[in-house]
Amino acid sequence: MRTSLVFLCVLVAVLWLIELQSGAASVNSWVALTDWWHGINSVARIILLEVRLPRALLALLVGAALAISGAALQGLLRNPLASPDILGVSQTSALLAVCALYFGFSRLAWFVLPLAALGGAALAVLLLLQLTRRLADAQSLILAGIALTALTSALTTFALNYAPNPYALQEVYFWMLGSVANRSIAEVLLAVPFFAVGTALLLSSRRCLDALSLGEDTAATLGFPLSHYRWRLIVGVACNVGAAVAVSGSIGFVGLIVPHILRPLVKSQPGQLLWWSLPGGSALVLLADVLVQHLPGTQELQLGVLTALLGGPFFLWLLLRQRS
Amino acid sequence: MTALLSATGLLLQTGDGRILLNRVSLQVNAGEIVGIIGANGAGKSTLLKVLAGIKPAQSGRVLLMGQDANSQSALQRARLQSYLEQRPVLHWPMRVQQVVALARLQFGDGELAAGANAVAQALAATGMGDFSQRDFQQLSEGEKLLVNLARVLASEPRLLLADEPTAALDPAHQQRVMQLLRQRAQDGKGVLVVLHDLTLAARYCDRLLLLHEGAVIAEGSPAAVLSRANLQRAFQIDAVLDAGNSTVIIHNNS
Repeated sequence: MRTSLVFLCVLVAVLWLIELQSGAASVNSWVALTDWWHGINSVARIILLEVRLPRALLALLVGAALAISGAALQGLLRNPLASPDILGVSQTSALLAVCALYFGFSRLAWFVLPLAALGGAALAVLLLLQLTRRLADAQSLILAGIALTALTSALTTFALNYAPNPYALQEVYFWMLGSVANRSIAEVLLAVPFFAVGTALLLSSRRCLDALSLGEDTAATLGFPLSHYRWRLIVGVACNVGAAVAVSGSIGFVGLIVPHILRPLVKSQPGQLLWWSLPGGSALVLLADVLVQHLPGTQELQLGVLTALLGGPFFLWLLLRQRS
Repeated sequence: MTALLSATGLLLQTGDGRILLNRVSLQVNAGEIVGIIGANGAGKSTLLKVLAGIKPAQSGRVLLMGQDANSQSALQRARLQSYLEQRPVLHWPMRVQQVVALARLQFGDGELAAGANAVAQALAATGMGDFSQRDFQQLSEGEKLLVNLARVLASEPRLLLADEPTAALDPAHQQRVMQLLRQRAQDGKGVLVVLHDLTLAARYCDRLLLLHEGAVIAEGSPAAVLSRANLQRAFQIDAVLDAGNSTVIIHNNS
């Protein structure tokens, strides 16, 4: 098990370095780094440190955040189909982020945009937790998530239509499909505290998720009552998804697929799955973002389109393989 | 001697005023098996859930090892008592050994070696040692129950609360489970068990508690509790206890 984890971390490191080398311009990283060392403000340095580095860091962080959130949601709701995008958590987060951005609230302070996205994510998880009490079976919860996704996606488009920004419609693609292109280090710094807090909260709940494998009642008698951990998990998912959406829009399928691929490797232990999902999510988003930059075409594909293109068929194959 | 578990005046009502537990008091001492019997809907499982800390009672007090259970953290309680639910569930595909090892979660990583030992012993005690690498979901209902019994044993509780542990088992397995519980009691632990089978209750329990409409209507030795009048009142059956064979004989159910 440990060897696979090391392999996964090495894969992330390799993909991250490839991501740093990817892009329209040909840049010698060694030259860029020596320029930076000597304080020379060269084109190579600017491209590497101000264009590619934020993008590579965001791909790494957003992937990890979305995957650990998916793993936590699956453990919390005890449903393998749960994930931030399928259940509408990402879209609700995007809706509030869009409202904060286009109606001017985000200009009040730097933290308003991520807080709005975080609030949206928390709202959606709370709603889903309430729904799980009424909709006991897995299918109903997913259907409720699909309804929430459709509603919040429509409301986001609606909000953008009425926004005072004439370019808003183009932004629909960003919020609905997600991307880590053209970001600055400021956005990385904006998201990092939320990722750190969210991930720490989720990892500190890993034993509760393990205990929840036996249902809520038994988990309580094992010393892990959900009432003690519910808020930790909700805020943890909200921080991760909220910050991810605030800086990259809603990137689909990562939170669903990564825990699915990794679950057999950790023998279905929800707590272990949280640890593994971090490099797993980073690897998937980095791979997708490298591919996005190398695919031919006049305009770069949105990252979320590629994760869906990769994720959709893969998920179907996974489902078929499990059924057989 | 301090009772392992002592409850007084437990009261629980539904929102519409229906009484689920009517001022129930009970005590479980070290070294004894106490059986809770009663008809369906009498409040047996509810009582066990209140004692296990899953459901809060509206009034009353539960003392665990002489200390107010409400003043103890969930982890402290989990180290003292274990609860075996009526219908165990498992949401993820896991091997038998993993399921049993979940009982050691509350002890943290610091006791991994002791945990592995306890898991192996519990699997051996329940006869599930050969099943340790099997997929839990592929087991029969009876085998699943034995695995879950192994799980609660693996936490080495001083008090074991078991909700109908013999319900899905054949007679041989029923005897095995009750003998295991008996062994726990002989080792100085306490066992509180909900039973539907009155003969098993008569044979294996030191004391019985007869619940009827949420209230304890009889308490004491099996011979005293399983009287014709009590059985008539609680189950609406004409039955007697054959004290010699510890068997409850039902004459008719009209």
